[in-house]
Amino acid sequence: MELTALAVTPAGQPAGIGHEQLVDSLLARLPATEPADLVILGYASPDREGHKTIASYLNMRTGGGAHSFALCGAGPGTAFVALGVVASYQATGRSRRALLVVVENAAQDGLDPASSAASASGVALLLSQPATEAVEPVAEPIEPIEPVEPSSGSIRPSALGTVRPLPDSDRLPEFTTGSEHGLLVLDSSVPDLPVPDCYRVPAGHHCTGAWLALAHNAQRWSRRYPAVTMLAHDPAAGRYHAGRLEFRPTAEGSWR
Amino acid sequence: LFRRVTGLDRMHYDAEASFDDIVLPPARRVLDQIDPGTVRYLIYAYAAHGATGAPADTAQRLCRSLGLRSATAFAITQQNCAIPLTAIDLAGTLLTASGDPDARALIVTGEKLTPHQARQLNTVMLADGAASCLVSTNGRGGRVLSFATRTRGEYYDGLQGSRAQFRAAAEERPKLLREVMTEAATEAGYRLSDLQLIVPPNQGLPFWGGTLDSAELVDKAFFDNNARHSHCLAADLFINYATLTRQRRWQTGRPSLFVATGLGWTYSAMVLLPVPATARPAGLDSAPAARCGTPWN
Repeated sequence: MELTALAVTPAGQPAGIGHEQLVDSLLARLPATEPADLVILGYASPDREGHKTIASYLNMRTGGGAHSFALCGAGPGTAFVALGVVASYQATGRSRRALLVVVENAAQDGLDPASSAASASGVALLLSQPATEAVEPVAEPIEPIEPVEPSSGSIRPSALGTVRPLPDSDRLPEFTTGSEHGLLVLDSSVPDLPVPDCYRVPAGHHCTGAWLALAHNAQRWSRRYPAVTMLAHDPAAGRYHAGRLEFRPTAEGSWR
Repeated sequence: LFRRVTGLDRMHYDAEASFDDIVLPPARRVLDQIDPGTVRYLIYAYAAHGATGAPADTAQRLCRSLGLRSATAFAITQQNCAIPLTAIDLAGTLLTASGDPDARALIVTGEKLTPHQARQLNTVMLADGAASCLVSTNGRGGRVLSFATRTRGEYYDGLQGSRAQFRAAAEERPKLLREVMTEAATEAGYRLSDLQLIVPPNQGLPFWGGTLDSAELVDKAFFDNNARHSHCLAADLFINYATLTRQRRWQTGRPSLFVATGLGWTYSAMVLLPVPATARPAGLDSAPAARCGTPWN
């Protein structure tokens, strides 16, 4: 499926901010598009304002006609599991355009300390089915993506590339020893790996870290690598979660 | 009020029973009939989604307790009591996309509310209850024929919505329910009048006014478990399926409609072709098995 837009919240969101505010911040940074037909809100820690169904709110804010629900209980693997759900709906023709939003509270009283993050954050991924009709060869160079301003959030108005979930596993995936993964983006939850072309995500985020890193570095990475593979580890569940983004090639067959 | 108006009569609540005491037995009953190694997904579908609801690691803990070492575990929520139909739809979608005909998904429902939490909703009695359901793409159990859903996000404030919002939601509920029910029936190739039964959650009879009390549908609606179990949140539909299976109420070849609604508000409907108990072979692997309340029924 195509990753057609990626937005993140500005850095340093205050502790205790609600899921609704994080969603508002992300929607303000997403380009206006046609409504999604599948809306998934992902999180590792529940909202303090538990009476609110923010998945329904997100649905309403993005057209109101989607099948919406929240996905949780997967810790650092939340975004990856949700990506697998979106991929399944798109592979079976049940969704053409999906919005996946993953939000993360900072530490909150009464919540699982293992799910705590240094600051609140959120990431939004707009995911579309590839066009089914034949695509003409690109005649002109593709518009380069905008420089990233981490402090103000990131917007990707054009397709970044093709993204797909990789099967989760209780063992370190075999691709970590090869080179087909392009750049390997290791979430802070992943133990150190002796591999070249590896980016270590700074600690401080529980379930959004790898995706924040992608948003902040995509332009640079896309010039150097054909793909990035993101890897997270959930020590509590003993599972590795992974997803791969293959950057969209330019007309000349090279990468941005 | 509950007995005379809502049709609720009994509810099961055991202060000594833990979440695990309620939720794990029906899941184990389902797994006892299959090779647990074929379970690729464990989906915990629940209603009370706030910080005072199920702990964040519930799905992973259930997975470990049930010995499902190769399953991907996660939870889905934020449709409140409408979530079980989405869970079935999601499980079927994941399995279809996987391309593995032997893979299965286990859906676990069941919540343990404190008396304080249960009293927050004063229009219905919230009870202990749990049920699990196994989904596969080639099983011999009930067959899913269609699914329709609508969400009205303007009511996302749930129980803290205004009086005006509650009134507006109640007024539009019959129309929206009728829409999703008709859409699900049509998608399955039927009219509502063709369906054998309409199975809603046990949220009390007044909730279905303007919809299931119509002359066309009132004889099809299954309300027996309102009096028997009251409202067991996301577990109701699976419990009702199990009751109807045990009572041998399903007619061969006749589909039934399952309806679910949840604060927030989500309205869903699903047409299923259940397998009558007498026609089911031993070791069925795709029909819900459910146990509810205390004592187990």
